[in-house]
Order: sequence, then C-alpha cells, then structure tokens
Amino acid sequence: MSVAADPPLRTVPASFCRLGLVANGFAEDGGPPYLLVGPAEREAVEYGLTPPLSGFLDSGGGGVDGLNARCRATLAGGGLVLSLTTAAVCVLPVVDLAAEAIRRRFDLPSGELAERVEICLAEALGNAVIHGNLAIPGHLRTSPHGFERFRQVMTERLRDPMLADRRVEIHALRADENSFTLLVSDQGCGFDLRAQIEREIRIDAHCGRGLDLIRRGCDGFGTEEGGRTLRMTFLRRERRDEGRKGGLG
Amino acid sequence: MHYRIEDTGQDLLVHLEGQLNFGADRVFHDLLAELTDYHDRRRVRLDLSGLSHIDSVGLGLLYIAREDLDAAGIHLSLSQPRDNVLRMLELTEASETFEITR
Repeated sequence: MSVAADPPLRTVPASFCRLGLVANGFAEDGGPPYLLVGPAEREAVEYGLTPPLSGFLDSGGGGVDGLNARCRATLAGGGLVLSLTTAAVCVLPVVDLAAEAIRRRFDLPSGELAERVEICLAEALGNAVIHGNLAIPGHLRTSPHGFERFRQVMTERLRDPMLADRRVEIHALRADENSFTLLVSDQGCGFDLRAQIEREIRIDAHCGRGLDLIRRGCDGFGTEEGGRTLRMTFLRRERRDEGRKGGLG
Repeated sequence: MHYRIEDTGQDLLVHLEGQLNFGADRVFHDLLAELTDYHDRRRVRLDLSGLSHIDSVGLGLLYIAREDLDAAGIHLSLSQPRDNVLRMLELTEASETFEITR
C-alpha cells in the first residue's frame, strides 16, 4: 500500500488517521480510491464512508493486514469498503453508518428498498459477529435467563483478543444500472447456507430467523468462502409484493 | 436501548427508545422483571415509535417477553412501529403473533 504523505483530496480530521491509495482504478466520483485507515471511532468511520473517500479500515487487530485482495478488488471496482474488528462492530452504530453510506452511494430514496437494505445488513452483521467470529450458538437465546447467558458468553469472548480482533468486512458494489451487491464477511468457521435455509422457522421463533429474514429482504443471496462471506443482491426498485423471497444465488 | 413506563391506570404503556439488537444489554431483562412486578395490570403495550432499529435478536426478545408476561397473566401488544421496525415486523409476519396497532 502506498500512503499519500500529503493527501490531495481533503484534510483528515483526526491526526492519527491516514489516507492510503490502496488500489488502481477509480472511485465512484472518478477520483482514485482512497481508504481511511485509523482507530475505529465513530467520526473517523463516518468520514471514511463519505465521498470522495471509499471506505474505512480499522487499524486495530492487525491494522493494514486487514487490507486483503477482496478489499482491493472492491475499491478498484468503484465500491465501498468497511473493515472493522469484531470488538469495534459491537460498540459502534455500524448498521446506521453503513446503511447511510450505502443509501448515499447508490442514491437510494428513503422507503421500502432502503429499509430492506438496512434490515438485511443488520442481520448479516449480527450473524457475522455472533455465529461467525464469536462462534456463539443461537439456542441460548430462548428465555430471559438464556439471553443473559448469551450476553455473558458474548462478553467473555470479546475479552479474548483472538476473537475480538477477528474482522468483519462490508463491501458495497454496483452490479449494473439496476442492481447492487452487498457482501458481509467474517473470519469464523463458515456455514452451510442450503442446510440452514431448509430448516423450518416457526413464526414465533425466539432465534434462528436471521437468514430467513435476509432471504425475504433481498432479491438474491448466496455464500462464498465456505460460508464466511454472505452475498446479497438488491434490485433498484420498490417491491409491490411484500412477502416475496429472494432466491439462492 | 432505554425505556420509560407510563401507568395509564388501566394498562402499562412502555416507551422504548434507541435500538433493540444483538448488542442489547441488561436493560430489556430489567424491563421484563419490572413489568412482572405490576401484578394488578393485565395489559402491557410497548410503544415502538422511539425505536430506530430492531434485528432478529431484538425481535426474539419481544417473543420471549410475550411468553414471559403471558405466563404471568399479562397480555403484551405492540404499537406505532415505524420505518424499518415496521418493515421488520411485516417481513417476519409478526402480526400473526402480536396485536400491533399503528
């Protein structure tokens, strides 16, 4: 990665952050794709997700080692990248920040589509943190006491730097004029999407409904890297048929 | 998430504010414990108008609350969900289980 000593685009508000030119190609506005690198604080993340920048990389938990081939490819393709440690995802309003950036990047009006994007993103992030990076089984959350146990396990696992530093990545890419793709990746053990989807979800289930919700909310989805990356596609149009489910892609 | 309980005399109106998601802390647990202490109230209505976001973990908490309160003879209903909270309830067909007023 080459780091711009004197960033040509704009002044970075936090002195500890750096602008890095991380890939060949062009950002959404036609300029080079710059990524903001620094400690994951709300203002810095928000700034990195705002044009003309193309994303934010949390310098914690291995720092620029988190800048992998997929990040470079997304940036080179004019997409948006957010790479955070699990610990950062658990304390920052990541869904709000990322959903706002995605709405802005794809010029989505408020309403049905933007709401579905936010819901699917939240579910994918929750799955990446809970079941992916922290490997917490869902069956704990079936009672008030079970939820307390879930909270205890989550707190314990976040104290383990090996787990807390695992990364969660969000990639947003324009697929074509009529659709865009969101990828959410974790560093857990992955999962078998087809087996999970085939499970029957009770309408009053206390847990385990995240993937079914994503299926209902997006227009196509699938997994990559053994289930460590969830790919969701959205068509740029409002739905008339509320209950339609996206298919496995 | 924060909550505020309003005793209307006939039922309890609980105003929820913020986000109800996988990062939920003890607040919801404390709320449930507090609600079951109101033995003379048979109805609890959760006002969701101040809730900006809910995910499937938060939704699971609502189902847990419903069962818990039901066991104590208290009916739980939801009111005024908005934006993506309303969308979430629609996508999951929550109205099959909850009485929801807009």
